[in-house]
Amino acid sequence: MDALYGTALRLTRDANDAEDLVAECVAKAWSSIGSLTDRTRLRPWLFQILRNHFISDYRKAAVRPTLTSLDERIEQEGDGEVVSLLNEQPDEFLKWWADPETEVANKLLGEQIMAAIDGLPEAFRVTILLVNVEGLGYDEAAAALGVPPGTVRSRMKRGRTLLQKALWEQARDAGLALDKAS
Amino acid sequence: MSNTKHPTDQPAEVPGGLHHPDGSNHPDHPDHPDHDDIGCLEAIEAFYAYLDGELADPESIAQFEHHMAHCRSCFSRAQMERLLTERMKASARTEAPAALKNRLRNLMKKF
Repeated sequence: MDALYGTALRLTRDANDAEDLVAECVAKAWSSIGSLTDRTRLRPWLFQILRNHFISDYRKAAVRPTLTSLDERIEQEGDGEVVSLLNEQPDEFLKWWADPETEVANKLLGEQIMAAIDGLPEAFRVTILLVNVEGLGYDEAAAALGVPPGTVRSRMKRGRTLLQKALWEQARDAGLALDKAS
Repeated sequence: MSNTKHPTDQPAEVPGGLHHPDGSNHPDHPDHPDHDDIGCLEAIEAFYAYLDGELADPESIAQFEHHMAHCRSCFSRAQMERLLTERMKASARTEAPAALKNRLRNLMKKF
């Protein structure tokens, strides 16, 4: 239940909406459990119901209708964009981040990391959460999201790259990376 | 690097079970591409699938690990991604509120 709530919270960005979404998801799952033929697929099935409910009942009511088109546009951009995004981050930044002496990753507040994740377009945000936080495999995440596994793979690549970029900009704006990397 | 073990077979001490030949966590030399090296562009293509344990082909895994053992830049990136994933997991865990748990218990009673 915690996993469903956490994902709902990141989808809706509202605690009350997240509770409603989970309650609707559980009610739907309970009433249609007979349609789940492979019980080992319970987790991706639950996440699929959650996301379907979000799309049908919550995203339509969102006050930012352009978000969906933005998501689609970003998702359709090619892998060349991934390479270019990765190249934007200097090696010094990466070494600094991974340096056990600076322990940047540990010093970064969870809130800062989650803010960077929340800033990602929805398609990437949800895919990263399902794979990296909830531990779903690419095929399970694909089933939950209703997309081919190849799409999950490309979303992970692009989403994580965007996340790196956001953290690099966060560090740069705070003067952290510049101090150490220059 | 000849280790073709799947990354999920090894607890993540370093990215995807990567080890530099000298046994350290940090390559101590800069990029030295050789004829067996797939190069950074191909490594980036397989990067996240490898780290997520989704790269199944042993040859691709071996090629990727070979590149990681010789490319400081990609190795550093892998280190960053591993740390970031750990922090994400720790930060994103959210406990459902008691009110929701009660609501679901009541919901179950109706079925």
